[in-house]
Amino acid sequence: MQHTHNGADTGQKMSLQDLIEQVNKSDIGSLRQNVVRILSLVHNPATSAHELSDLIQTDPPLCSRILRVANSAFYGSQRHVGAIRQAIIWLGFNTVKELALSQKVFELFQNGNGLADFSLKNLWNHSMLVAVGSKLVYRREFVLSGEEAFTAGLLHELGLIIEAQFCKEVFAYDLIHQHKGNMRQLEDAILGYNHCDIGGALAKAWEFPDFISSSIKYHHTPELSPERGRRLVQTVFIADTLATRIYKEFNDEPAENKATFDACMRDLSIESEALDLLAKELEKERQILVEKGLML
Amino acid sequence: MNTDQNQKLQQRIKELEIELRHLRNDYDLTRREVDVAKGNFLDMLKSLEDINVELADRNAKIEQQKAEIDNQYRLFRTLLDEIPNPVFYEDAQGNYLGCNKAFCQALGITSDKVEGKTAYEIFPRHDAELHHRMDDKLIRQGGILHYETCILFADGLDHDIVISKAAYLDAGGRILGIVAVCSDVTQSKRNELELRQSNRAKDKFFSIISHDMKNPLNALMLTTEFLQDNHQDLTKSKVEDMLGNVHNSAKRLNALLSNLLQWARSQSGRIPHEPTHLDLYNLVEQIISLAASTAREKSIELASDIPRGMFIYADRQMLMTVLRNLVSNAVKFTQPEGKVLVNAILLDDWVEITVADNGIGLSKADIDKLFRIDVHYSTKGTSRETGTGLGLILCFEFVERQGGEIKVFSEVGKGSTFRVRLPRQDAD
Repeated sequence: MQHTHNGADTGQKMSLQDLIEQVNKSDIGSLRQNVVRILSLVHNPATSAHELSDLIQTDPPLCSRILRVANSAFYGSQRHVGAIRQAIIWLGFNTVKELALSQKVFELFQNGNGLADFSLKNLWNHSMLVAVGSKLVYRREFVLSGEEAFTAGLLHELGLIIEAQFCKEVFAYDLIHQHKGNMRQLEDAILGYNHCDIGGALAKAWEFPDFISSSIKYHHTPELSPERGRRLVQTVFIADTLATRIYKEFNDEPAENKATFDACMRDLSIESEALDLLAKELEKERQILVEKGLML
Repeated sequence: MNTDQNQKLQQRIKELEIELRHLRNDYDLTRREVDVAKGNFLDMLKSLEDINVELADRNAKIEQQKAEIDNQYRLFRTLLDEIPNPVFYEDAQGNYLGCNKAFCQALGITSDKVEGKTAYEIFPRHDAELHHRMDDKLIRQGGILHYETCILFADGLDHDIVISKAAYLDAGGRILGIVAVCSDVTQSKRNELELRQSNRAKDKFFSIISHDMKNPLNALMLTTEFLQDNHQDLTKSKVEDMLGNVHNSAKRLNALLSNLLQWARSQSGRIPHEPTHLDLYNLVEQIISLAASTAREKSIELASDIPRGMFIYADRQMLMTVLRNLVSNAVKFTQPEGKVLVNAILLDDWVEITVADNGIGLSKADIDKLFRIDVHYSTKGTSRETGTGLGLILCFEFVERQGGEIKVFSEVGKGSTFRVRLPRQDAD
């Protein structure tokens, strides 16, 4: 029943709006409530540990995944962590919030089938790195906890997730040409719009906070983002670049956009020495993600 | 230090400064986050404490409820055990859940032989079937039911028991089981039987007085009245004849009265049992001599085969009454030219005395009535002698009171043998 897009050959093009509607009717659409709920909980400073644990406990798959991470090699707890309240005390409130969000977003990635699985795995790993990298920049450079940055980084490729499941021809073409092309150009050619547009439109349709939809829509073109919230978009861009440097399995642009990158560095007053330090930190964080079982 | 080195050093210093800034930033953030985490942790701890307090509270309540239930159980147990009637209770499937002390004592079992068992494991099969049937009925219809049965108690006796069973219900009206109370009606049934018997005895007493005494008394009055009015007109031999009749009537009345008085005294328990060593030969001779004139009149041979020197340990008055009645009965129910023989032999445990005749005999049905006070049985003798039906009843009672037994062997037309067995007590 899934409508496959085959614009390049037939000239039959599905509009962005049609695509969003189709997504909303699919399994992914049913995740909307959950994702939005956890997003609002994670980004509300007044959220208490009780509310978080109550929310997680009403979602058994989420609950079991968090407990699995809590009992992973990284945390190395001598005692078995058997309850979410225990996990919050043991891992920390913020960690559990992050875990809850990642696992929920991870469900979006799981709806794919066959063809795009390989790419989705790499895409998830990349997204985790961008989330952690963005947070790192926020903490080290702006002395901010970086929860928003984490979320923005995690979701920045939302458009690709949709594409992988609803516009398989793009991925098929990409695979055939062994990632040599620029994804955006390919998408524009086949679909008439690209994954930035798709992600941005879905984020709007799902009523995500503005900072998230902006960082999705402009993650390749931060200079076009609205003034308000541009710092986050630029941070995601920088983290995206760093992540691509240390994790080469995923790359949707053939070459770094040096001009945009330099502009971001300048605008955010990040010195090149600081970037080197951040790159090293991210490399360490990647190891930690592997130990936590959060890298596939 | 050259410029190049200097530049490198400057670069390194800058790097370290940035690293320091990063670390400081991270430190500041981490401290803030630790504070928040501490808050969360304390929050969690507090909620755990709240849960603990609530748990302690709930535990205390449960303990209190347990104590209340315990006390109620004690009350129930005491109540149950202090009830003198045997009580037991079962579930709706017929499993006995428990019983009281009286029940255990009555059946001579412990409560663990009752709990969890069915009627079939407690009572003999036939009884169990009855209880089971009644339980079924009660479970079907609810309410209360009573039934009577006979249960062998630990005292070795069969007791007449009325069992009252009631269904007990849960709050929703569903039958949970059965409570049963046993009432021992053995004594009251016995009392009732005795009462009925003594009532019959009283009736018999009055019937004897009104009927058997009135006739000879009437004859006596009429004869004496006739004699008073006409003795001058009568021949001497006629007068003597009539006086003989008067004497006979008086004798019969006397015999009857003496039996009646003895019987009445025995009924009120005023005849003491005072056994002594008696010379049976002499005793029987005396009795034969008393009956000899009547026997002679009917040309009946009355004899004793008892050897001289046979002694017996018995109450003289009672034995005399028994043998007098048996001998006079034998003469009464034997045709002229017949024979009545009294004999006695010593057995291991008994002295057996028999009074045998070759008279008219008794039917099986009549034999059954002989010793019963509640059935009036009296037959006229072969010479139309009247009887009271009291003699044999006295015999039966007196023999029984001495620990003996009396039996009749008889055939219609061939004669009867009355056998009295009294326990031998030579040792005394």
